[in-house]
Amino acid sequence: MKKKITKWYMEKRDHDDVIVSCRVRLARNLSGYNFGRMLSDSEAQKLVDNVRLFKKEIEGRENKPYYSCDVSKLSPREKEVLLETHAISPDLYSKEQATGLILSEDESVSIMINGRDHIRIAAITAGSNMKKVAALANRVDDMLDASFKYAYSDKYGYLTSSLADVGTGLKASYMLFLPAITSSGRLGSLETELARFGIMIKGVHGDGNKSPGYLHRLCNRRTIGLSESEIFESLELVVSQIADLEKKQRREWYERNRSEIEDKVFRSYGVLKYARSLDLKDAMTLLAQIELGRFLGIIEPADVNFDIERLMLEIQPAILCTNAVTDDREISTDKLRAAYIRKKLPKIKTEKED
Amino acid sequence: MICDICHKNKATIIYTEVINGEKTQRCFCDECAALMNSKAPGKQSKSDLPMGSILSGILSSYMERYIESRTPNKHDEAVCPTCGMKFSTFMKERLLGCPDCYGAFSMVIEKQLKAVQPGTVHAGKIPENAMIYNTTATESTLSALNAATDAPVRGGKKKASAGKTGKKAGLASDEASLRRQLEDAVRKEDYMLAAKLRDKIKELKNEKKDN
Repeated sequence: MKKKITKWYMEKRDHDDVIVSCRVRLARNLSGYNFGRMLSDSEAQKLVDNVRLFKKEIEGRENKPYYSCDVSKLSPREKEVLLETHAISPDLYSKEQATGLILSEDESVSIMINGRDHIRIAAITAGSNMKKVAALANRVDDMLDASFKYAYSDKYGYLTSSLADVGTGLKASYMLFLPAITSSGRLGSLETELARFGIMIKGVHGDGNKSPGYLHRLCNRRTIGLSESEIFESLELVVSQIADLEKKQRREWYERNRSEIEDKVFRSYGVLKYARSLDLKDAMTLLAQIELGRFLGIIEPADVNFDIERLMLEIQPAILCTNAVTDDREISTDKLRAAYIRKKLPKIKTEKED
Repeated sequence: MICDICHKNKATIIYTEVINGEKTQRCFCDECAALMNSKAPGKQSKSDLPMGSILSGILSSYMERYIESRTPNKHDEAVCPTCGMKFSTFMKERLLGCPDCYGAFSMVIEKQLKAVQPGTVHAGKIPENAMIYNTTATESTLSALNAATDAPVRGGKKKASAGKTGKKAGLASDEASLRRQLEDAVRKEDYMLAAKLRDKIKELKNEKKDN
């Protein structure tokens, strides 16, 4: 029987009310190959085959099993799952040329081959621990550096196909849960403000105020002219301020609209608990209400380990269908999703009567 | 201010016309102005604007300078000697073809980079083992480009091969990191440290020469 592996998003974590996950991505290119735009199909295959050999190396060094594949040869469903768990980027998902992947067993480290750049190292963790992922990505980078010849220049640093990545090749991103800031309509002004610091914020599922689940990704736009630690520091500073602002606004919002918010939270719980069909957008929005209610102390799940962000990930269409054990082939994704949530949603402690 | 023609882009050109003491003002974006310019002179464009030869004259001289500054026509067919990426394609797609493109198109890389990034000099991690590419054009941009287009043996190619034979990263990056430390020391007005670093760089250079 297959051993059950704990993926990074299933791991028990210190619960953070705002920061959902942290991710570091490093863009690297190898000398001796053209960049993606000018890479021939045969060269692309050679690149993928060559870099995939690194699997053995990293397994030996880290003493952990890694998984490796030609992404371009996977079925659409398999690719979708990888995309939804953030193991591959949309670039890699949609590319028709040969593309490859080396993935750690818990999926926290992924090495994407021949996406926008020859190699993109990504490390991700649930909760707030940017230092850990930064160190992890850096270690993998050092190993790759020892095995391959990176393209580098003293002036421009790591050379990449897009000028938006050149220099450190580093994009550090935080996934943030921002219901209060989004609902108060302040996201737009926050976006403008952040742009001045070279920081970008964007809805994870859909843009701006329309992102269901109030999930937003915040990352650095600058990649050159700053050191890695400067990039991390500036992001951390900004994120901690946003987190404080978000929490403060949640409380203020609750003070002003107590009964309305309580009604919304309980209503959401009711729908999630008894609905027979839920599309992704609805499910995300409703789950977000529960998360908010939990923060404000409106409802308390009986299971203290209940992780809403994990559930949000598990109800993405491809992951959902892959995990579902059903003989009914006709069953729709929305019905599957409702059933899955019904099963996973914990009971709540009875509220105090007023 | 929004362009009067397309009502989409930001207006960069303001045209004021005074006829019989009556003043009219129009604003255009670069694109629409260029479009009008291509239709002038003589043939009046479909628009209802009283575009006389004066405007077309003003615009054409402006646009010439503008186009020249952005996409030098002479450079349009410059090609990277290593991967064959055309300069015009790079300008359109904003994606480089290979590491040598940085050297081949160095005259615009700096400008382009400034548009998307705050700094233009790497200040982060230095790899141990990498191939160091020369990304600055040593000759004037034009001759480098000519070299890239007509005779790939000169200029561009030389740079590429200099990269290929590749000096070891160790020395070069040491020097680069020392330089950075030096800049840092000067910024912090730590002149003692700066002097030490300067001497170290000198030493390193001499060592290289001796080798």
